Amino acid sequence: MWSYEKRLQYPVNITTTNPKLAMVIMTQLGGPDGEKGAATRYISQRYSMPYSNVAGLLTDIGTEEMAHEEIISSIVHQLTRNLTAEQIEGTPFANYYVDHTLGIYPASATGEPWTAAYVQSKGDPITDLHEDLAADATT
Amino acid sequence: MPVVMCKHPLMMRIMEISFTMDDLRLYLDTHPNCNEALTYFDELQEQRRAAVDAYEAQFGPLTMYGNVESGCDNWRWSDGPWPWQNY
Repeated sequence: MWSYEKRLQYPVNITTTNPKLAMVIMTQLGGPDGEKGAATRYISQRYSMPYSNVAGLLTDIGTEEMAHEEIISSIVHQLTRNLTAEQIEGTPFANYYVDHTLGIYPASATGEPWTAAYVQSKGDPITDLHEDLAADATT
Repeated sequence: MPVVMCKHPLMMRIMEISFTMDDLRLYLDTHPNCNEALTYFDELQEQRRAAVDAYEAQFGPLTMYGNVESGCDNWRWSDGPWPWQNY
């Protein structure tokens, strides 16, 4: 079970829209090293973690990654809020807009939909922790 | 409803306390006997409780199991603004 809090983990308050920037930031939600992958990775891997305190750590990190999904989604939402098709035409956000309009859809900066192929869960703690290092240590 | 709930000083306070607790929690997961961290976590927990109580009294429930005053005939959980709405 998870318990939702009606707040962001870190405040997002954007007053000027910017569709070009939104398309770049979107990859931090749905790209290969994005928050969606991070959350799925930690939450999936915890079941085969033999050490209770590390299983707890994976749970807590995975939970925080979900909060990061919400932060990044809020940034993209506020960067594109109420934009018209005319304002988006000719920007890198245009191709995304064709399929999703102003909805938040987890994709990379090049528009690739998020996929579970970005994550790994092998049932071996050392292997999984190395995967975590590779995926999360730079972001 | 306030113009921007997320900018309210009480909310900023809750965010600051909680952010510190988030990092402390990860540290304590692997250092469960660190007295300094345990004491700090305790202090923050108390500060957070007070801030959340004050916030919920004014703006309605912050958490999904949060304060719904008994006898209250107005469901406020699903009221906006939502966290991503800075307007």
